[in-house]
Amino acid sequence: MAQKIKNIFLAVTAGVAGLINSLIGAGGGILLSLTLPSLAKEAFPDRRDAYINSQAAMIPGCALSCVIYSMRGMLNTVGFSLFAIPAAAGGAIGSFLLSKIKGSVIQTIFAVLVIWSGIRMIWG
Amino acid sequence: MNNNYDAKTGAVSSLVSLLIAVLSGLGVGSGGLLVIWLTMFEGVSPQSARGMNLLFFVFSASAALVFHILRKRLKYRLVLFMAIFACLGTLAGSYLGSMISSDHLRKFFGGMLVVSGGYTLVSKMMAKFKGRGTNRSPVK
Repeated sequence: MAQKIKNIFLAVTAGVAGLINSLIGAGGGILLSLTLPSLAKEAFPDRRDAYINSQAAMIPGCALSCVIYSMRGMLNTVGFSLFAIPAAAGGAIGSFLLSKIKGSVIQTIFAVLVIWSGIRMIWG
Repeated sequence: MNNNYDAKTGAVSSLVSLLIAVLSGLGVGSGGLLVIWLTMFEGVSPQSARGMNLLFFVFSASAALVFHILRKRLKYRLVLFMAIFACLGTLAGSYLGSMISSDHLRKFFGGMLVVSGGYTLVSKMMAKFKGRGTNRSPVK
């Protein structure tokens, strides 16, 4: 596929990922992680790097969503304070473990999580 | 939401959120697990849980990002390109939020995830099976 078309696909996917995150509050990162490995195969011979870059791309969009949620009074920052430190610590531990765990294992975890997430969205 | 935790409840919540954040640090996201935890066990409304899930992701993914930057695993131009369009999508979502039924969208997107996750899992198993038959190493 020509690079230009791939870029258009990537832009659309990223836009849809942001849209879904904003409307549903989850799932945008998963959508991007699912498509990036096939749209940028040459850039990411190791799938783990595609996942990492997808997640990194979703951070500004999620932060923006948080600001919008907060402006609408839909964000409980007081309740969140309990989760802030475990969130940061867990993220750091996960990134440390990433180089210790095989790419195929991460891919399996990801696939299971995608299915689980989908089931939860349908019946949750 | 109950903001006054006793020590035991606080410890359990912290441990659960730590484990969910580890998944996020691995780059596979959290699959909205925190939303389930918050709504089922913490008595948080779904709307509020969605906002907290997004904030949780910002914290966990940002912490992981520091290590990924140090290990030079990021393609900055590509990340910036995707981030710009994700932000545009987010703005569109916040505008369309009042017009679109998020319930229908969630179900549709959920179906898509089940199909694509199932496809990934099955194709991986098939590749492993083939690899075993021809004495090749499984797909990376």
